[in-house]
Amino acid sequence: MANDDYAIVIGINDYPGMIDAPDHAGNLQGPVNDATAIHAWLTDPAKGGVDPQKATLIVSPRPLPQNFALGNAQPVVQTIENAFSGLTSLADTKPPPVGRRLYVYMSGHGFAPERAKGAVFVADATKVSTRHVFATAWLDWFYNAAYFDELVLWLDCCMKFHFTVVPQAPSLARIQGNSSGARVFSAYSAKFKQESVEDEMPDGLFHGVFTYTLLQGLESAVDASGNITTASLKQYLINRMKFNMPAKFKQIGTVSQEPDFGFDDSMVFVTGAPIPAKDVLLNGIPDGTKVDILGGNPSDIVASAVVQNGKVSLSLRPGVYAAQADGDSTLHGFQV
Amino acid sequence: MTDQLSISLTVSSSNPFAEIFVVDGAYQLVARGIAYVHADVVPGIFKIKTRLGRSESEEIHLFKTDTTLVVEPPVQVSPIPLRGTNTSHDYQVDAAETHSKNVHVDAGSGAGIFLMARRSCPAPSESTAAAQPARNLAAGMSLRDNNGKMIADFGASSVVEHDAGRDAWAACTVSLNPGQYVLRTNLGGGMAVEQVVFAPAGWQLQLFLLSTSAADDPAPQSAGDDSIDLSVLGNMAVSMVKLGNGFNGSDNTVGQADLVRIALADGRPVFSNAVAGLLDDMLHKKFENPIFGIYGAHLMLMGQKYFARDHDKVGRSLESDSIKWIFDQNLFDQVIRNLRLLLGSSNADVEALSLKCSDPALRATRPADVPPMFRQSWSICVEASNGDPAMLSLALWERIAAMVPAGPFLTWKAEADASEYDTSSSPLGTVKTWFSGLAAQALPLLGAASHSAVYRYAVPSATSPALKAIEAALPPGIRDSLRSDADRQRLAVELDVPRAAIDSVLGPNRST
Repeated sequence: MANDDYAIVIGINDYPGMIDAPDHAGNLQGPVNDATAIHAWLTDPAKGGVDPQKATLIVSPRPLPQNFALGNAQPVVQTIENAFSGLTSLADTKPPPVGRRLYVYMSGHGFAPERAKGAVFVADATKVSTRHVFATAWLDWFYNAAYFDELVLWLDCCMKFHFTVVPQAPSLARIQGNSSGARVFSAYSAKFKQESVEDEMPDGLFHGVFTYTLLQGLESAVDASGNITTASLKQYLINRMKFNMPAKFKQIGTVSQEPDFGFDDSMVFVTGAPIPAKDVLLNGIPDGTKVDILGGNPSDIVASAVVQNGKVSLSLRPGVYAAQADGDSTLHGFQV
Repeated sequence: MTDQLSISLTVSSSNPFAEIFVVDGAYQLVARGIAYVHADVVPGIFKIKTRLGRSESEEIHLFKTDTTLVVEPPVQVSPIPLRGTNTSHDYQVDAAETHSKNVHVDAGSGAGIFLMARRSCPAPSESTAAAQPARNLAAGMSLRDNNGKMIADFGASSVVEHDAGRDAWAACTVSLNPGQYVLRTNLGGGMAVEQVVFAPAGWQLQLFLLSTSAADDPAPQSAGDDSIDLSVLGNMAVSMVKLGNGFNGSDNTVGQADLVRIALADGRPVFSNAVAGLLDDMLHKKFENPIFGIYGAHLMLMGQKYFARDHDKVGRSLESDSIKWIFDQNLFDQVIRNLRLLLGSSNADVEALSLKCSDPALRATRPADVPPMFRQSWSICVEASNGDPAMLSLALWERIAAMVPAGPFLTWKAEADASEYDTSSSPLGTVKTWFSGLAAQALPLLGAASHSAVYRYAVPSATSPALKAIEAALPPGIRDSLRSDADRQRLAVELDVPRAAIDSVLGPNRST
């Protein structure tokens, strides 16, 4: 258990102030699912390892109250700021750094004033009262205050530029810490000025395409040392997000097909991570055929298996591979 | 195991716009380029990714020795129906060639506009056709004059086909007097957008829209509420032919030019020596298709900005065949001269582009009286208005202020409704709230599956109560802090709002 780690996880589906069409086009379907799944990974002792007492989950109320409306919509700015302010009070009893790592995850409608800076609108935002939480500003606050050795931000929201919305910094006095600077990793679901999308995923639930890929990466992006790191996770997100992108969004120029990143300092998320076994389809190779799996640069045989039901089950790190059947020079390329 | 520690890898594509990425077995990007890549790499497993427009393809290879590889570019998905492409059926190409030579709406003579809206599903079948709603794909689109008077209802006037087993299409040719017109598109839910389309003397402007799934054709929300998806409108392709020639589905250069449209829309600087050569061809072909000239001129300006910027150092270090783009001002000036000969001296896009000519005699001197067709043309005018606010009037800007992002086109919300402003918001936010009303952007309606927030902004007139209320609420400090000419210039360019609008709210510029 990472006793020194903290997390604030936000997921907002319901925006009564942004409903413009009879079918409630302003509401989303993924963020609550996404935030819940991220919180579960973070608090799993074998994965994120964050003490559940130190991992705050704030989502749109479930079930949604029948009288849910602008006047009583949640979560609002104060709810989320209270969670961050709670962390600042840790320094009342312990001089900084107050913890090793702070995770911040947010999902909902959002905007970006510039590249690699993003904010999420809160539940009672409207077209004029653009209430939001400026996620990267909070990250900056904790960086300057040197409260944590490591800061992680995962943001799943549109990164469109709204010149009409003035991003609001945290309403806290600025604190300048004494340390040499935390390591920071920040990943965004869309490139600057582009949109993020969600859809029903193979698990039957709606997810943001970025978060769905992130969750896969947090299980699978194991590097050569057996760890899931910022570097391996970043490469996984870049290479795999497009596999989860629904076809209907692929030709829309405003939808970001790849994630974006701010800082990518070196951190380890999981040590000694098991490499999950995955089925790899090998069309055209008869059942019962032994295949060698080639991978790496320089390449070598990294695994062998026998094809059963048109596929093989392999535990491979993320990357590019080729299967070669005995006595056949043909290579069947695949990616993990 | 391989014997060499390093091998020479050369990858190329026949398409000069194809972006090539070389990724090693651990998902590390090791090299990239436009149409050509050469790098020394550690032998082993590689993924070669090729991107063309918005289409991508990937190949996996094992390279053990020095290798030269030619990759097929991915299938280009273009709204233009071209023979031999996976996203066009011969019957759709035939329809475009036939109906672009017929006249379905006779509203004048001397110029024309041809519009084709079609669908292309991966494998149309009886079941596909049964699933497709039997509706006119051009329904919801109309052509109007600058006073809003209806000239052609494409929904009512198009020739249509939506037979079982075939992808539907709708086509319509309007014969017109030369001039600039307004294409109005119903997006559903009571929202419509407009954009300028021009029909120069002796030319036919051709507009192509493509739906790639039935999901792009939303069912009408109510009777008579035929609508087009904004993403389909934003991906509209444009071409031009001599009046009477009709569309030629075998002209592949039109497809190449469409890649430039996507590059302009997406802001992707796909420059290489091969593209420079194609640009040269394109600029010469403007005599057959003036759209080539307009695209080419904008691409030159995009290249000028791109290579002047200190950008993406990591990305650039991985590029091979990076070219140092040398903006040829003389060529640019000549392009504008030729475009004026072809399209006349009242085409808003050509006149906007002329503002970038080095020869002062070429630059437009009179104010624009109609908006241009392309967004980049508008931005050029905004920049010029900093030097001469009269170049873009408040009245012209108020007409298009509620801009809607739709590819490279200047598109705005038609008949935007007024709303009340919350002038009790913080003083610092007040001026921003005012600008939101002046230069609004309604976000694409992508339905519930998008994280986009959909806003509606008001378009104030000079006597707008909202504008007056906000002007009254402006704190003195805001006006003073935005007093300098440099501040106002930057504000105009960043907001894409004419200088006249900036000055009208902030008051006369008192700075020296």
